[in-house]
Amino acid sequence: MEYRIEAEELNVYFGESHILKDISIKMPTNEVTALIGPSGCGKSTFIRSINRMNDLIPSFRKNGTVLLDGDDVYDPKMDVVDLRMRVGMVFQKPNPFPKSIFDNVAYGLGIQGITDKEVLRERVEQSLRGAALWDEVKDKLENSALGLSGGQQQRLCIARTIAVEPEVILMDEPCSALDPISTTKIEDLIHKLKNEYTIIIVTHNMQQATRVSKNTAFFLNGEIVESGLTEKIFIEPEDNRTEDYITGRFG
Amino acid sequence: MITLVLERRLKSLEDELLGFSWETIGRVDKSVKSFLDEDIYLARDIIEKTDEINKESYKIEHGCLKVLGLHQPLAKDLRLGAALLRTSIELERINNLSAYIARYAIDAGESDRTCYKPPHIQFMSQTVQDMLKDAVGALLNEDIQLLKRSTRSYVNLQDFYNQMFLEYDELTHGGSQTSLILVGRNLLSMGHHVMGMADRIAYSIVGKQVMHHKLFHNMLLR
Repeated sequence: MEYRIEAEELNVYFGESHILKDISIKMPTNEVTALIGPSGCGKSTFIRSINRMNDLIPSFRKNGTVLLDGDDVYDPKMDVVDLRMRVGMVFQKPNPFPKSIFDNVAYGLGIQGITDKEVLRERVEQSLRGAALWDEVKDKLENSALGLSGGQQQRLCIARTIAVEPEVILMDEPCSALDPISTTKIEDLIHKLKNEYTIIIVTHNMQQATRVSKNTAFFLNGEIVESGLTEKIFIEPEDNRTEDYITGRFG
Repeated sequence: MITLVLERRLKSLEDELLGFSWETIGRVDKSVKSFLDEDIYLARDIIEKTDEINKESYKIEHGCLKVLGLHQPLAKDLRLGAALLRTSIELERINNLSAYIARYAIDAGESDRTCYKPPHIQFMSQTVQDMLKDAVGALLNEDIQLLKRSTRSYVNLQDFYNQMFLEYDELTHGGSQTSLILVGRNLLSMGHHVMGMADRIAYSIVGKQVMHHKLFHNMLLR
């Protein structure tokens, strides 16, 4: 089995607070891994460690390693901008740029140095199709992205992410601000995207984790209590803490 | 709050299953009694009440589907729901087998042929009843030792049947003992259904697959 992302003995601190403790986990390539756990347990901190978003927080420090295709993402030689193109991220609240739909998707391509209008048009269409949004917006690409519905905005953010052809897509509760129908569309999209990308999704929705992911890791108080195949975690968990959490008996 | 609702629903299903299992155990006892005593009236009563009794199984099955569909339980709650569903279905089948035994009782009672009834049938009936009590008790109390006692009894059940078959087989060509063997087969089938339940109950309790096929293979190959 190939692993796109590997964390080895990762410890993360914000000032004196020890947020992640000895995290070791491997995320298989082209599979969906769900991270579950109560609020404040370190799930979002962990995924932000993969694309070095935590670097933006002054008090952040870490030890241990995070590898992307065998390369240490914290190696001084690692280009953070390039890293964030290879590891895209979709956030809880859809955050399209205050630009047109077309420009939202083309923005990252511009940073990559692509200026040919025809190439941009093709890539934008390809990305919007990939995000299952093309049919809904093809006649209004010049309209503001802010005029789209919540679900459409989130799919636009996904299109923007995949436009730069990442290897990994991080999703931090991508559906928590969406209605059930939009959620279903995003989940269907995840099923489609996993054939080309390695996806890591943080979710509080247990049923969503069972629907979309092949693997699951349960976080608690900054540690991984149990990880493995989703069907094993949710049907035959080995740790009582996992059992208590997923059956709602937690606390 | 959501967990409390689910717990209450599962508890309610457990109580219904307990009641249904006691009815089933009673019917096993009565059906064999009707055969041994050639009590046609008792036998007819058992057959007539089969549909009514089995409605309880449909009710439990529907209740389980509701829990699974509306609550989407996970882990041990999911395994418990699956075990309750399977157990209810197996109890329904055992009830049907009791009705068949009652039918043989009527046939035997209405025929001119005499049929010697060895003690094995009563032993088998008692063994099946004990297996059922232990299996359902194991499910409701999450008691794996009780479940082991239930499944170990299957060996006794098979032994009683084998002994009876060997002793009375030479008489079956005359037809007088055919119903005896058929009743024995039905009781053995009941044991099979309890073993089927036991697999699902074991999975519910320990969270691991436990298949009892080895037991069958060992007995068939000896």
